[in-house]
Amino acid sequence: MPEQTRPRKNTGNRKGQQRKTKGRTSTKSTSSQASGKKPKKRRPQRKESAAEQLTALQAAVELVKRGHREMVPRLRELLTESPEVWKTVGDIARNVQRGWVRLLADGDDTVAESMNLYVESRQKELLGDDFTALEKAMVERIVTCELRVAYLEGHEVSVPGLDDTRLARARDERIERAEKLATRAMQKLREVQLLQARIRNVEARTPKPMSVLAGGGVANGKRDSSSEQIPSRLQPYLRKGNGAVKVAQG
Amino acid sequence: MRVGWEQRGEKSYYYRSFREGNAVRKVYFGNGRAAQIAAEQDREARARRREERKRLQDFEGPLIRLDGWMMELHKYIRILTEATLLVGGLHEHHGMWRRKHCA
Repeated sequence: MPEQTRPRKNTGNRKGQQRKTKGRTSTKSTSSQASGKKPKKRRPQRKESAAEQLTALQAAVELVKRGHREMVPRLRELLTESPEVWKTVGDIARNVQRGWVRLLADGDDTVAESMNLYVESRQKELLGDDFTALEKAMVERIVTCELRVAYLEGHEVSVPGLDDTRLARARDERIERAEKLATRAMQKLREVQLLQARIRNVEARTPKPMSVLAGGGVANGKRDSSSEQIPSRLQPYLRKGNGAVKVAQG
Repeated sequence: MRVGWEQRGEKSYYYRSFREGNAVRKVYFGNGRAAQIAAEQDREARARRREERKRLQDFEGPLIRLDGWMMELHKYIRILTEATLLVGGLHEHHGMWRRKHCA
């Protein structure tokens, strides 16, 4: 009967394959035993890289944005328990800063050194004494954007008289884009500072903490999450009831 | 081979090519003084364009890598900002971050 022969044929093949593979593995093991080599150990499960964690973070963010509130604890866990993510962002920012400084200095070590000092002081100026990891990353981005604008404007001065060329057009476009990005980065920082202050305010009022801020809310080791205070530099914004950031009163 | 010069028997004649929409048109200049001047003008224009292209490449070359990193930085910061605010009990509504009423 054809119905019976077909499965038999198939099983025969599979068995044959199994036998073959079995044979291969057994030869391997005997050869390794004969040569006195230790059998290979199973590798321990590797830790997720920062890029993978960022991807996981992005996926979790998307899910929460689509209404999966049950993902919030996972999101919190990814934010607070993976400092590599923050480290990666900081590394990228520093790499970009170094790149712009190198371009700006154009081989002059003294200029490079003074630019580095400027970067440090500008970051300190924008951050203040009390900041979160997110604010730090955002400030690094602002300084990066500012360096970019400085380089492009410097190039415009050093290579003048190119009003109608493709280079002048490309440079003008880049300057415009860079200035926009720098402004937007600054606005975003102010917005996030305000929102974080509001979150802290709500947390302080509620008996049970609603959440832990990103990076544990501690970037410089000074902030104590149990006794959150609104930074003094944000007080004017809050007093004014600034409408820049609309936060619905719950 | 000289660009724009076309051999016709013993003599060569200069043609200036240009694009008109999808079609390439040619203007005949002959092989006299006008052809020499047109050829010289075109050679200078080509050299100018080549120089411009080189300057543009020199300008954009080092920026491409940095731009790539900056894009990455923007992306990561956006993710981290959204994550932080969502964890803080906020949600985004038409680009504005608000606190959940039920939170």
